[in-house]
Amino acid sequence: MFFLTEMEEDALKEFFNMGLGMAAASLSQMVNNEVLLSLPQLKVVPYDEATRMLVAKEEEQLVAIRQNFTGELTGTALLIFPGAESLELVRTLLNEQMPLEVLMELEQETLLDVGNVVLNAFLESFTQMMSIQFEFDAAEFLKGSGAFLLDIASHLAAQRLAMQEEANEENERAFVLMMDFKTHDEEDAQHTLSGFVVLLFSQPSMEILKRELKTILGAF
Amino acid sequence: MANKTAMIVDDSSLARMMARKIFTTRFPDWGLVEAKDGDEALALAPPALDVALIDFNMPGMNGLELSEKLLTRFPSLAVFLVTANIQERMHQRAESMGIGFIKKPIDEPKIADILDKFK
Amino acid sequence: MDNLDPQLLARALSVSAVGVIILDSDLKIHFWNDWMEKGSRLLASTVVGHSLLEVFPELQATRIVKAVETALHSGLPTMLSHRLTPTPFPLYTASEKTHADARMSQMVLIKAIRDARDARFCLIQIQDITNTVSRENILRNQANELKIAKESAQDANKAKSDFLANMSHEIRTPMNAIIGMSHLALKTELTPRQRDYITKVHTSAQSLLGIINDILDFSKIEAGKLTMESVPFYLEDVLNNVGNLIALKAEEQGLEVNFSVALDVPLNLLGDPLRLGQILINLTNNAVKFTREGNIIVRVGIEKLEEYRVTLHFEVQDSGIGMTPEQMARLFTAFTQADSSTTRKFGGTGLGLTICKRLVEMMQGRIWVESTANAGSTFHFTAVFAIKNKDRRRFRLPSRDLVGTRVLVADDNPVAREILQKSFESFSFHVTCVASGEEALFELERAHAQKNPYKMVFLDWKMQELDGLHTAREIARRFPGCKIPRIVMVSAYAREDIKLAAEGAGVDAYLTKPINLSVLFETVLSILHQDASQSQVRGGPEQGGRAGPRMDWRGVRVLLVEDNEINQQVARELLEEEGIAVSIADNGQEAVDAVSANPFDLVLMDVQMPVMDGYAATRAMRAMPALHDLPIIAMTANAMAGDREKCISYGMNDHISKPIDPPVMFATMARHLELRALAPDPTLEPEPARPADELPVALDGIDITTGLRNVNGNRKLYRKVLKDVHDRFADVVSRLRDELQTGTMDVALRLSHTFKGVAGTIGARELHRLAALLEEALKENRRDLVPERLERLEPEVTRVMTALSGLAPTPQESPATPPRTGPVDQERLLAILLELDALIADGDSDAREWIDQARQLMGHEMMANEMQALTECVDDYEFEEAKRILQPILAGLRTNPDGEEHE
Repeated sequence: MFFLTEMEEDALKEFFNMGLGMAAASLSQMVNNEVLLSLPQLKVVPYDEATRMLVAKEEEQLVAIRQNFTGELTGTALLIFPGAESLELVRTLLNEQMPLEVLMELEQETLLDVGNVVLNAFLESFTQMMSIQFEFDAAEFLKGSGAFLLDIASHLAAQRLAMQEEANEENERAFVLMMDFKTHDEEDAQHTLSGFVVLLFSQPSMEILKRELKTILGAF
Repeated sequence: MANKTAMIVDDSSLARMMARKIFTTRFPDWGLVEAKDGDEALALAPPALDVALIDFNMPGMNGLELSEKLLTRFPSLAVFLVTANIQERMHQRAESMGIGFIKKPIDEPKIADILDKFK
Repeated sequence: MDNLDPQLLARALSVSAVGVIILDSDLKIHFWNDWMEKGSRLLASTVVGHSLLEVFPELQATRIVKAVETALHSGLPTMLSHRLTPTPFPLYTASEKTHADARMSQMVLIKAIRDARDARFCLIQIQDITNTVSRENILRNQANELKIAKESAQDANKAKSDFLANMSHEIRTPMNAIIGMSHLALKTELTPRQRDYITKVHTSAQSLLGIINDILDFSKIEAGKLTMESVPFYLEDVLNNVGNLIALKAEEQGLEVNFSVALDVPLNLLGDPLRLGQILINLTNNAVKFTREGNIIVRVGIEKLEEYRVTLHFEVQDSGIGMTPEQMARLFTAFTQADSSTTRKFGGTGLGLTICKRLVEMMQGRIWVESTANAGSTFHFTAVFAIKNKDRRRFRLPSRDLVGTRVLVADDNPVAREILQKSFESFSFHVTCVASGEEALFELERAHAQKNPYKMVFLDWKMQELDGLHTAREIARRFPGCKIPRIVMVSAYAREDIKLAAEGAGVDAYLTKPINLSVLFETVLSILHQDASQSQVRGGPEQGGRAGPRMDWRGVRVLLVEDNEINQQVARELLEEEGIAVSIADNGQEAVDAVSANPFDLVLMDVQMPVMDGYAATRAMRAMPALHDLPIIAMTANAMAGDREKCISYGMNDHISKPIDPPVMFATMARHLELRALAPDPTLEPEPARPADELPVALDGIDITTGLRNVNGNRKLYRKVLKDVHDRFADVVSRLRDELQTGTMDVALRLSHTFKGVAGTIGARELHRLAALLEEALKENRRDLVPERLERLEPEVTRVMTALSGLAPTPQESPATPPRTGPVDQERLLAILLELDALIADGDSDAREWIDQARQLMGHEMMANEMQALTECVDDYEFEEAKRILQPILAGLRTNPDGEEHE
């Protein structure tokens, strides 16, 4: 069982924020509209609790963009929205006035694109600050309940690296990050949409991460 | 040469640590005041201040708001917003106030660029 | 995987269904599959080994190239969506059938891969989503169109509602004029042909109003805005009203209408009597419309009786054309009657039954129909009402001696017979029924012979063979000398000639079908020389204005607040006919001014008016303590269910809807006034109707007798003069003030002088006295006295002008006479008037031109009344009268050559 010190958590948050700043800039450019991304909350919690946090929204259909990574760091990054919010995000990003009741194919694709940019920002934070080698799978689009989205057994990466067995151990950790998207519509009114970013790490990955953070902080 | 004073305002201790390291190793003549948010910055600001490096995204007042306040107190202060994400809107507002930008993360060449002007 | 043949793998990638490109870290193309060759129309052999930017220079600095660099640099993959990638690969699609050079919509995946030596390469996969994009564009457009269509439908619906609400007001206003004016016209002397025309105008207007109400009701139902009242009412009143409305039509077609109300039906109920009446009127109207001959029977019974509420079952049965099952099925749908050919034949909106259905549902009931083609229909409906008073209707005879009174009923209609029989039985009479006049005579003879005679005979007027009239004559012949039995004639027709003929045949009373039980009871008792008032009709209605005795309205002062001139006339004449003194205000502000200056007994207040509406005016009036109890009755043209509540919430006492129904208006007014009943002496009948432009009975501050004498008793002229005075001098006080302020004392003096003369002429004594005082002060230049005297004059001017404001305004005066300031050319004027005198003496209508010339010369103020009167006389060819008016003018001119006006 381990946890991050306040200083380590702060450092991690700063990395993420820098990454998000970049992501927001590229999103703004992509949609021709100012997009602000911020990270009001970062929690390191056991896997079970991460599941619970999302299961609270059980009745809702959730939409997620998922990216698996393998290498020295192995795990899964997820950007999760309630279904309606994800539609709303695409609409406001594209400044679309259309009332569409279902998430259409192209909108799924657009959301995948946006989610990919955001998740890359997180993953890039790791590659830029630390001397860690890892590879990334392409982003995928998922729809379902919170439990389904976090079900490690369903993750290819997990299956591949036998993360499955470790998942049940009590020291399994997940990062749960609250994320806010702020955009402006045509009338310049600001919209804020909240989503979750969940980063699941295998236990060895978590240890590598802590080690790397220590190294960085030790430099000062 | 009289000693100059700079201030770093950032809610991230990592960012403050990085700044401090650059100042102590590379610009030891400079005094550095650290603050974690706007309120602390206003409270800790020394009587004479030459440069302020201010994070944009902070709890409480944001970097731009703090800049406005500091500029009324120190009209000749050189203010730089430190941010990873320079949005057009913010850029225009800051420029109209004569505020500069530094892209995150802060590193030695970027700081040197600013401080060298004070020689 | 490792032991797979590289050749095989390369082949698999080449024939893949997506575009595949592999780049090295310098963006040099290493692999380009078949799909790419087709899409780019570039062969692999020509592009491999070249940089991607050489092949597609347009991609420089695009998201694609940035994503490639990211992948090569940090290994991060990028998914580029169609929507967020403005510059995709410049490829052609094969999926667009119509257009060979169509650009491909694509989804691009850019990903880092490593080779065996761990060197990074970039894999690009491109998917053709042109079909999806165009399909979604179609959907998007459709959704957009739907959205626009929906919005415009909503707009149209709102416009429709607004339109109907406006039309309600706009249509009702002229309808009020048509119905009111024809009502008034029918009270004047008319030739038979004129009476026929006007009667038809009146009935047509009424039925047009019915159609309009149907349409409005329907639109309210559509909008869900139809509301139900819950007020106490007396069921028999509703039925009477239906009877009155339907009898006329039924009579025209020779139909008989009978009401049969079960004896246990409670009559004092809580509910919406107007809506119940509306349903019954609609169904009976339909019944009349579709029945050529025979009967219409309206039955009321109890379906379910609970402690505080009752479900009544109503039936309207006709002997008309009936319906087939198919026709019945479509009956309660909007815009259909039995079939469209029937619609053409019988008219109507086809909305009536739809509205009935909805109304019945709102009364928690249901409506259905039983019918056989060519044998008649019966419409049934049920409705739930709260019971206000559980007392049953019981007719208690004033004397025990009357129990078992023998009554003979002769009617060839079994339904009518049965109704009468049950009614008499409920009075505890002994009834015998026969079906013809002959049988009646036979039965009377028999009873007479048996020394057990009948006390009363009820004869139907219209019977086969021996009708009621002949039977009555025969009874009188056979049983001479004695007045027993009493004869009552019953007829479906409320016709004066039948009634007169019946009286001539020795009939004691005359009743019209449908017979109201209370009326029957009272008739029976009065015939039996019993004072009906000593008996008690349990659960009877409270005396309403409509049923009550004639009221004495004389001397009642009513302020009519109404902006529409014609409606002013209608209401004013209706009121004046009863001897009410009417003043008129054109808007709320005038009304407030009027009630603060003069006492009124009641205000009739239009609601929609310019300047200040009726609600605001009422509030302003209620704010004055003295007017706290002044009865204010709203008149609205919207006829919305909430109107009444709204009016009352604004402090009004009551509400009537336009078009004005005179009996309703008077009944409503009577509720708020203490009136004496007119003595039943026929000599005290109100004066006969006066022509439309006659004088009011009384005018505040004016002695009409004196005034009339001043114009030689010419009422019409007097009226014109009064109107003229009002038109020209209503603002006299402010004009005087203006003149005094600017210091033009002589103008003020002349004005006060003229006004004094005018006041004297019209018989405004007090006004004349006060104006004379002012004139005196001005003449003597007593500036100290002037303000006070003007002050005293002002309220009297207001009083008289308010009284005069009740007279309809004169048509716009011709602007031919500009205000005159210089002195009058006396000589010329005299010459003109002398010429005029000669023309008038000859009865030459050229006189008019000379009058105009004279007036032009005399200007605005000089003898304006006289000249106006002169003009009118000449216009009306009343040259004698004209001469009488002209003489004193001429005389005055001769004796006052300095031009001072005649007084």
